[in-house]
Amino acid sequence: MALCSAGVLASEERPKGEYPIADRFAATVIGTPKFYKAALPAEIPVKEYELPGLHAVPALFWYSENLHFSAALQKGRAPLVFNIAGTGAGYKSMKMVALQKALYQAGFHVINLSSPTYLNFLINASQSNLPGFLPEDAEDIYRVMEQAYQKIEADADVSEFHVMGYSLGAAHAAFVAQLDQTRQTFNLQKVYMINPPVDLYNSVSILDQLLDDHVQGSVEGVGVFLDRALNRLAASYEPKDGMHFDGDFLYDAYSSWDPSKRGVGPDGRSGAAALIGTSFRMSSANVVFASDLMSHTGYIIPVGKEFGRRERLDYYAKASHVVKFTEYVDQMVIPYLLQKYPGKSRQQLLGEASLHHIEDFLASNDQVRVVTNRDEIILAPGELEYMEALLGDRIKVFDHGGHCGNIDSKESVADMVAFLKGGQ
Amino acid sequence: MTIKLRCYAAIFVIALLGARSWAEEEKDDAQINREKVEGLMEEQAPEKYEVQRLIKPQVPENALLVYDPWEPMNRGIYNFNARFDRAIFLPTVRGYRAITPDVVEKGVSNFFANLGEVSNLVNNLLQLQLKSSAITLSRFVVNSTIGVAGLWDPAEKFGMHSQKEDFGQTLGYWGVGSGPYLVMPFFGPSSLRDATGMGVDYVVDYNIDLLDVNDDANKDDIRIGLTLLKAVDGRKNTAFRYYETGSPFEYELVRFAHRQLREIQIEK
Repeated sequence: MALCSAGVLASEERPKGEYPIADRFAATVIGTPKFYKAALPAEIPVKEYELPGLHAVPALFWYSENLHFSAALQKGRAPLVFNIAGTGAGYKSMKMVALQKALYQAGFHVINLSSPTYLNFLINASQSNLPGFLPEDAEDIYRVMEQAYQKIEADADVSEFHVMGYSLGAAHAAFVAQLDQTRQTFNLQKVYMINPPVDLYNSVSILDQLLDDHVQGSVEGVGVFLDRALNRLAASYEPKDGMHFDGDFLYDAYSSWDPSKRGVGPDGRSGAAALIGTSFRMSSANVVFASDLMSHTGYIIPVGKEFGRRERLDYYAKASHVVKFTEYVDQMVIPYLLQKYPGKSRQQLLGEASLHHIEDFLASNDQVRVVTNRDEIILAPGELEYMEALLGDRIKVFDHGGHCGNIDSKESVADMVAFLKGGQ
Repeated sequence: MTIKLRCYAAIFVIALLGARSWAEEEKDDAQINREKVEGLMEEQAPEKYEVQRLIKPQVPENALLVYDPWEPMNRGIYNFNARFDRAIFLPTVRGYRAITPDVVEKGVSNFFANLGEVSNLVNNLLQLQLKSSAITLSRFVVNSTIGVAGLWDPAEKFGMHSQKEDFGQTLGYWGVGSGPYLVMPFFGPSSLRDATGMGVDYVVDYNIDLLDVNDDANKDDIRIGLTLLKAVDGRKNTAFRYYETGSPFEYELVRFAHRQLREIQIEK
């Protein structure tokens, strides 16, 4: 933090004007503390819509019929931004809502779409029910974009279309934009990618590994770790006004700790990293279970097994949480793809789920912009440099923020709005 | 994922991975066809007398468990609540928000919170929390007078923060275990202890009868109106939405998050 840029030091009001959390894992967990957040309206007019699903919905998922999405529409003529959520996140997740507000405030129509890895999308709009293979995900998202636009067409006067997303959603945005070059339904103008992975398999390996490295006893130690973490949090920090488990609570607690006690413990484990690994494993468990049930792969759920609405799921829940995301890819997605595309190898298929696969498109299209962080956690060594070389001045790299921790900071929102508005 | 969800996620995973299973006879129902998984299951088979140990309050080695012998019924009620929420409760809340200015909504929330200070005071006293009791009493006096019958909350501005306690927490404070998990119709996640506590709090409130509306048939309409308004106000102030976690295991997630939250509330 001593190395604040000159511009920041110049503004005396905010001595630490930039994103304040230097620990990449803590930043990812805590997000942006209130003071550093962009000013966003408390509420904007958002309407929710439903689209018919592609598949019959099993009784167990009775609550998730039809694909849901939301739209915030301007009164007059404006560009429309399709905004795609990150791994396991729905169109109403906190990050998605923040982005929707920021874009609406800046004068855009905004359609928020869930990630194909989100239960509701996976069940209703994923053709294969096995999300994670970027080219096929892009087909699914593109179809949803077309249907969603038809749904709101009468209410929105659209001048042009843009697409964006964060995390996995950022990679989706790029693949969707590339697909649009041949389909040309939207003639997408700008592509804004927040904290994208480069090679999806690398990124999920890193996230899988966090659990193994930072939780003693790996998956089976998660219970003990979390119990301790919660107790430590509850014991060491007395909030003034009741217990609110939100980002600011965590930040206050984090700030109240002695700096030497933050971050990495004496055993080399980071609590925040453990939490990220745990949360990622949860997202992946959701995908594993729902994919298995929908696509009848028989990986965990015996083929033919039917669940009632009141069925106990704890055994299946445990089983799903044992599976790593990379195992999901290797043992559920890849076999399906090998069968569907005979002649392609595993290596080829994994290569297609990577930005390398569309690098010509990314390099040649000056309407593509990436923003990420120097301390991003989901990039393998060399991947940040790869993007910098590929995109030149079309990549913005903040110093801190970890993975999407600074997504609604003043600087990040300003960058997003400036890019999407530019050249209008 | 949002921070809140992440916390729930965290808590949830404890539930899944730390939890041991309950009913031995149901073990055969789960036909899971992976060796790895079966191995895990084997290890997590329930121990003898575990249930008895777990309903006691101090069970550090198994603090992660939630005892849920009424699971099928609870799941049924959970689903009923989800449907009721979607079909009736949330639309009502939306209507209420649409026709009511924000300042009035805030006033309504403050008003009911102020009435709730009575039970907060009783329970703080029962837990021998003298400082919290004093704060609660001061809040009630200040807000009922300067705050005009509790419509405003000036006490908060004077640095007196609400000290919420209910009879379920009081029971917990004196060492009563939570008992079986219980999903209550309309109210949602609870436990045998906390549901009992709610009943006790209700009886206390009813007998103190601050607004002088009980036991008078002529005031029934007022009483019913207030009860409904309180319900709508309460739902408005609760961010939770059924089946939006994106997890097929939401029931387990909520069950565990709720239990953990109650334990922290009791400790504080």
